[in-house]
Amino acid sequence: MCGIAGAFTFDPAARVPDATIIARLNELQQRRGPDGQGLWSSSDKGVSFGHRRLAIIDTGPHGAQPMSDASGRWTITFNGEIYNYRALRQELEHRGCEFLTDSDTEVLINVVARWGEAGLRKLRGMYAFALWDALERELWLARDPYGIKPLYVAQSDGILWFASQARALARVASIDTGRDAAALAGFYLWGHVPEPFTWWSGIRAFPAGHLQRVRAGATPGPARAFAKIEETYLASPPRLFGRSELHHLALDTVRHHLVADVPVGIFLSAGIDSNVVAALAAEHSSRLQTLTLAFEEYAGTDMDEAPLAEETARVLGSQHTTIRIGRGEFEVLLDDFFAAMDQPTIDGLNTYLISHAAARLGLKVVLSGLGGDELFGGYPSFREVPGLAQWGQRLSWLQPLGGVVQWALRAVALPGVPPKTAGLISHSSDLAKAYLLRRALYLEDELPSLLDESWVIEGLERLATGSALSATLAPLRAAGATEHVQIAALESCWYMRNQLLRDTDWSSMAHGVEVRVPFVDFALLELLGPAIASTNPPTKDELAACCVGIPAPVISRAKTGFTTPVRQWISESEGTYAGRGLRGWASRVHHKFRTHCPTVASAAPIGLAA
Amino acid sequence: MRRPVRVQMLLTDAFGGFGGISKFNRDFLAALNGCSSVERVHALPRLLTEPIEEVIPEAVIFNRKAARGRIAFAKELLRLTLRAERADLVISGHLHLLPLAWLAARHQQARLALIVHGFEAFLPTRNTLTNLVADRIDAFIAVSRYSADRFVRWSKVARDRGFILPNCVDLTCFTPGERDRSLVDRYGLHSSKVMLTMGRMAAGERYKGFDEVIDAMPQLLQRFPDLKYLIVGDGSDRRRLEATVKLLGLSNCVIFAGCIPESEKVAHYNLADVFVMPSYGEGFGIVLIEAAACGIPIVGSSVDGSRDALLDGRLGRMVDPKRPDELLEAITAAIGGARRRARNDLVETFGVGRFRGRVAHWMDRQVALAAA
Repeated sequence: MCGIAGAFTFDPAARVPDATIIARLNELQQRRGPDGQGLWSSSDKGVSFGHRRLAIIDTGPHGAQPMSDASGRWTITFNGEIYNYRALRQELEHRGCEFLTDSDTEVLINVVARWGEAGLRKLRGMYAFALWDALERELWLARDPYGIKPLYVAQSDGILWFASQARALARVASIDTGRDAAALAGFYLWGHVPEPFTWWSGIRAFPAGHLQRVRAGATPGPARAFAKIEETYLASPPRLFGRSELHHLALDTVRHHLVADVPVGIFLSAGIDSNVVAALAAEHSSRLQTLTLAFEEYAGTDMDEAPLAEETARVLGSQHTTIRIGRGEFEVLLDDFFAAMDQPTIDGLNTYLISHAAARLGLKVVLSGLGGDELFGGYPSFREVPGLAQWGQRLSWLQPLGGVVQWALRAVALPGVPPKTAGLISHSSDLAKAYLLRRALYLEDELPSLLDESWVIEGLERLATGSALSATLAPLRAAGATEHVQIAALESCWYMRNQLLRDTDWSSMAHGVEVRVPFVDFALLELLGPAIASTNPPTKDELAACCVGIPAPVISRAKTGFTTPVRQWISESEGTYAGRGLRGWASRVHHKFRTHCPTVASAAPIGLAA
Repeated sequence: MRRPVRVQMLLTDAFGGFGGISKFNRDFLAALNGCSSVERVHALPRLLTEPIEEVIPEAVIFNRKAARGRIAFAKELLRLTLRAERADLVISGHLHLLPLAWLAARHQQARLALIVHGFEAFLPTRNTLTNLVADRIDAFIAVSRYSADRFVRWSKVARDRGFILPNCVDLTCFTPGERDRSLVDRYGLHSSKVMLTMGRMAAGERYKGFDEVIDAMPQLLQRFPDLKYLIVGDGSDRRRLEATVKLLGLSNCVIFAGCIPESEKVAHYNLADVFVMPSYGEGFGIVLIEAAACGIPIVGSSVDGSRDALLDGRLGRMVDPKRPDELLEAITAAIGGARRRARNDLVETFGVGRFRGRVAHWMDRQVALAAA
């Protein structure tokens, strides 16, 4: 897991960027890969790659990047892990392929060299890479199906730029770093900047599960999808899974995610997902290291997760550490937290804090239970969103009054009534709208109190949130899929991709820690999809039941839910910011990015001479 | 850490507006956007005359509804003031808006600041309420020492509540350049010396010194027979001035250009051999620093806010407008002076970056004082 960057001068008439710019991008992404760095340029300097390395597999100099294959035709800069690289390597060796290193990077090159685009479907892992084909003079850019690893691109003056962090790219002088209205409106709508937009007009998120091939001398065409999450649930006919089958699948994904040449830890909370990951990992390894984030404020109370996590650790026999954090640490780390934040977001603090601790314990790789809720219907949204939509259909005669009711509820802000209540009528006509209501930080009609109407109008128009959400649902609706699977798709392609995975990435990479997510695994989804699409989809309880070693209180406790004092800290520290809780926090984050973000405020852009 | 503040600003006009005050307000709002001490600014304009072409800074909410009339303005202010999230600072962008700003500030227990531009604040206003609340302000910004002194004299506001914030000029846009041939053709300036004044001709004000320059024309023409006096701008006093010119038989050499589009402004400056404005009631005189940025020799006034714009004479010649001999001598020296024009580096005092720095400093002080 690393940081990648590069530039491809596809237009022969364009001026090739100075190599020092890529070196600067490497520097800006230093935290993603503290173990080393590399630079590579093609002989005509038309392609330049940079790489910051967090050494995990084949940690010696052989595994360094950018890496070329034995033939010299292919050169890659790659961020991520290919968990099935050993099996793929065997298969390739049978076909006469020779390897110079023990790394998964070289396997990735050869997968593409041997099987071309079809090879991408063979990869099990998380990845974003740029691959240069010197023979065809063609650049390949690709990102994993879930979008676990980030990749940002920008095009300016005949050059295609890319990097792992949008904020780094925003420092390149020739890229348009004006504020993107869609990002600004999207941030207040969702609490994060939704893909494909980024905070900076000229920079786009490379779509997950897509591949783009750009030839020298040709204008880059659009990226093409090679895997789509929302289509995967119905790739084979729905069917029910038994307990042993479920156990086998879960065990298999955890086993794959343990592949590393360095110790692998586990983020263990009192929740079912992380307990399942730990329990399954214990079936593979006797030397488990677990880590729990606990809060001083909760010590000795029912809300403290540490005792339950410690109990699990004891049963599994893991080497366990509880990190107790208080408000003091939160305040000390806050400046660095904002400095590390890639784009504005209201989340990421929990992962930032626990990764900080993991790094201090010397861990580079940690497994997390992220994604379990999306796969096993763990969120309240799986109940509430269909409920809302049903309610909306029953009361559809009220729709024409929606605007009036919304206006009245806004005008008289009743104490104790959540501000989103006003959107109940306007946002309950279908599943997509109800989902937005459930996940939105602010509703569309609230934005004019936060942003000038010029930003709001343009932003909402470009976001086209309704149709974008519906597009995710389209293949499922067409096939008559259950509401459960539709919510699973929305949660996976929206909330999880734009918020959870992205925030987990930058907030852990800021400490040089790679977080692996066994429940966010395309191969697993391909196998489990039919069960999720069935009328009786697997639940968290069934998942827990197929593992040995999870204490009973964890399972019963999970139903009551968890809380952290982070929201409270945020609330108290934000003082005068507009809105309470996360709403106020959003204004604070926006303020930080407006005034302190070095890409905007003070630091000189790189490559000004270009 | 001190929390950034929410600001309400009542304005005459800004985006989609016209003239010096509008420009100041646009610059000021952009500067607030860059302040780390500012969370968000709700700006309420009284007027919106042109379509908005500028990008509204992202921390600014520019309330267009407020510009629909007096009632709409009051309504929007009321709506904003009654919101749960109170403002910490209310800025009245013009003396005439002070009573409303005072009410809003009082209701929200916010600090109240006033921006003093010039002429409007030299004497007590005709509105008793405005005069009454003038000394209730916590702070004021004046575009020059002269404006500040004149305001303090009648309002009895403590001088130390004031902060001098001179106007700014975009130094990348206003630059020395060759004469634009099409403009030379338009005004018939071939091989002419050109004397330029840019400004509003308001019958009620008459402080820009047009009359004084026109009076000097006959003597100047003796010295420079090919001299043309180009007056850019419009206003209620124009007809009177045109009549005067006709009466003096100067119609051939005094040109009334009228209003020009913003895009032609720099080219008009660059037509001139000298920029003249012997005013006696100018709050600051943005045109002076714009001319200076274009490297035009300047003859300005020593008796009003122009002193600040001319850096007490270091950026241009200062004359007493009531002394024709001084004016004549200064213009003659400027026209007859060096041929090659170059910008005086001192004009960088009025660069946008410096302006923003000053606003940030002032805002920090407001936040500190509010907390104290």
